[in-house]
Amino acid sequence: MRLQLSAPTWALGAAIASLAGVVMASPTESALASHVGAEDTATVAASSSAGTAATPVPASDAASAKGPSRLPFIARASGATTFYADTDHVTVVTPVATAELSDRYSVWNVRAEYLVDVISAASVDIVSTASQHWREVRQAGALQASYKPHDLGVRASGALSREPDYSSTAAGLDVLWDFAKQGHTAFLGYARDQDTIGREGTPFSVFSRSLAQDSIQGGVSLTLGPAAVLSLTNELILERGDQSKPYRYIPMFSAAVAPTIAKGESIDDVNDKRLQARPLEQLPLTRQRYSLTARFGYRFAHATLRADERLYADTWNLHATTTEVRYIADLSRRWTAWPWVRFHAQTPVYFWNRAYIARFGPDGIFDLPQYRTGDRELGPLYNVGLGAGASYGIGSSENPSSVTVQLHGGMIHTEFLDDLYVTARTAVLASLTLLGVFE
Amino acid sequence: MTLRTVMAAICALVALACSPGYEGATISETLPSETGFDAVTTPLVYFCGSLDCHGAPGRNLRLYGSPGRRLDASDVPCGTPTSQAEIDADYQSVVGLEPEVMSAVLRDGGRNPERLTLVRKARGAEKHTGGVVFAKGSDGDLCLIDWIAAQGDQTTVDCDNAIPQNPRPLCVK
Repeated sequence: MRLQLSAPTWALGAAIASLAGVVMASPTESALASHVGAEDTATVAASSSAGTAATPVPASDAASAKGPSRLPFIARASGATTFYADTDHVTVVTPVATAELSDRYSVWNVRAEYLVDVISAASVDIVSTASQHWREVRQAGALQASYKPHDLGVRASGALSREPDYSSTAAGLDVLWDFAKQGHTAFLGYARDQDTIGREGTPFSVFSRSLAQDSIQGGVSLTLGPAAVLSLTNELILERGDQSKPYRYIPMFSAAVAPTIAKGESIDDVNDKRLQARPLEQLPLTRQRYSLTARFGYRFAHATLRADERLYADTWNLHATTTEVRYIADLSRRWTAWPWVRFHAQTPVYFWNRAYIARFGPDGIFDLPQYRTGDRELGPLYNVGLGAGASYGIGSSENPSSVTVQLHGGMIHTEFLDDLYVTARTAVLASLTLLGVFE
Repeated sequence: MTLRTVMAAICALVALACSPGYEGATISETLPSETGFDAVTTPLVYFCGSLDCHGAPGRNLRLYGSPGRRLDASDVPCGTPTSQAEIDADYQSVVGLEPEVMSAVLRDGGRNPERLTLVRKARGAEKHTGGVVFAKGSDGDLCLIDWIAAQGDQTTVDCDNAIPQNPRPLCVK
C-alpha cells in the first residue's frame, strides 16, 4: 500500500523531505523543490557557511577557499534517518544514503540516493473496514547527473521506486542557462513517470493499473543583489490513468440519511447508517496539475532568511497554498540553527463529499456518484507546522563544516474540515543526518 | 479567538468554499438481477459470512445470513433461516463493490469474470485472508458466475452442491 504524498500533501511531503534533506515521493513532485533548491540552496548556503554578506559564490568555490585541496574533485556523502508518526497510528521510518561527486568548478556533478521507507499503519481508514494493521517496505533509488561547461548546461535524472503493490519508474532532462554574466539562471525541464498500481500479495499480471505522468518545469533563479536570491518555478503535470486506490471502498448513504452524517462521524455510526453497497473508490482518469513556486533568500550578516510560497491548482478543482519561512542563524563557526514555520490550506476536489448518496432501483439499476473518494488529502484541510533544526560542525578547526551532524524536528497539525472518522491529525517529524565533505 | 478559529477563517478566505458538496455526475449501472441470488447467498454466507470475516459490520463485502451476522437484532446465528431482507442486503453488498466492473461483466454475458475482485479473491488468484474459497470451476465458482451471466434468467447451476451434503452443516437448511 502506497503512502501517497500527492500534490496537496506537498506541505507534509516537503516537510519530511526538507527535514531529511532528501527527495521523497515521485520525481515529478520533487522536481519543483529540487530545481528551486539546487541553485539557491548552493549559493545561500555557501554564503552562509562563509559567514559573510558578500556576493553569493558557488559552493565549490567556497569550499576550495577553505584550505589546500588534496583531491581533484569534491565528494559529499550523507546518511540520514527520518522518523514520522501521527495520531492516526501511522509511522514511517526512512533511512537515506546519499553520495555526490562534483568537480571544483561546478562543471559536472553526479548524485545518487537510496532510501527505504518502512511504513506501519493502523489508520482509521484501515480500522473502519475491519482490516488488520499492515506494514510495508518501499525502496527507492535516484540518480542525477549534470554537466555545464559554460553558460549552458544539461541535467539528467532517473528514479526507481518499488513496493509490493506499487512500482514507479521516472526519468527527466533539464536544460540550464546562466545569463546576464551568470548572475541569473533559467531552466526548462521535462520528466516522465510511469507507475504501475497493484494489490499487495497479488502479481501485477493478475491485477494492475497504469498511471503515466508527464511534467514540464520551467523557471528562473535571479540574483537580486549581493545578498538576495529569488527563484520562480512553474510546473505542469499531466496525469493519465486510473489512480483510484484499489483498497479504498467508499460508504454510501440514502438521500434521507446523508444529511445526518456529521463531520467526524464515528466508524460504528457510519457502518450502522450506510447502505450495504460500498463501492470502490473511483477518481477521474485524467488530471492536469499546475503549480507556481516562489522562493526568496536573503543573507544577513550572520543569518539567512528563506521564504517559500507555492500556489497550486488542478483540473479536479483543488486549489492550495503553501507557505514556509525558515531563518537560518549562524550561531558560531560550528553551530547553525534554523526555526521554521509552515502553513498549508486547500479546497476539496469538485467531487468531494462527506456522505455520498446512492440508490438501488428496480431491475438491478444502481445509481451512484460517478466519482467518489475517501482520500482525506483530496478534501478541504489546512495544516500548520512548526519546527527547528540545528547543525554542528565536527570537522577540524580549519574546516568545521567538513563533517556535520544535523538534527531536525517538527510538528504538523492538520485540521480536516469535512471528513468522516477524523477531524484532525497531529504528526511529529524528526531527522538525524551525518554529512561529510571530502576534498 | 482561538487558533482554530483563526485558521478556519484563513482557510475560508483562501479556499473560498471549503466543501460545496458533490458536484460530479451520477451514473446508473445495470447490475445482475437479484433473481436467483437467494441460491447464491447460501454458499456465500456459509463460506464467507462468519462473524470474524465478512460477517463483521465494517467489511466492504458485508454479508448477513443464518450462519453469520443477522440483520435483525432479535435474530441470532443459527436461529431463524436467512431472511429475504438479508438476501437483499447481501445482493446489494455483492453487486455494489465494483459496480462499473460488474456491469461490464454482465454486458459481456459473464465472460472474463476474473475482472471482479470478488471472483479473484474467491478463486485465490488474489491475496485473500480467507484463502481459496471457490476454486475456479468449482461448484461455488460456477454458482456465482452462472448467476451473473444468467441476467435474471433461470440459472443452470445448482448452488446447493457447493455446500457439503453429508454431514449437512449446522445453520444451513
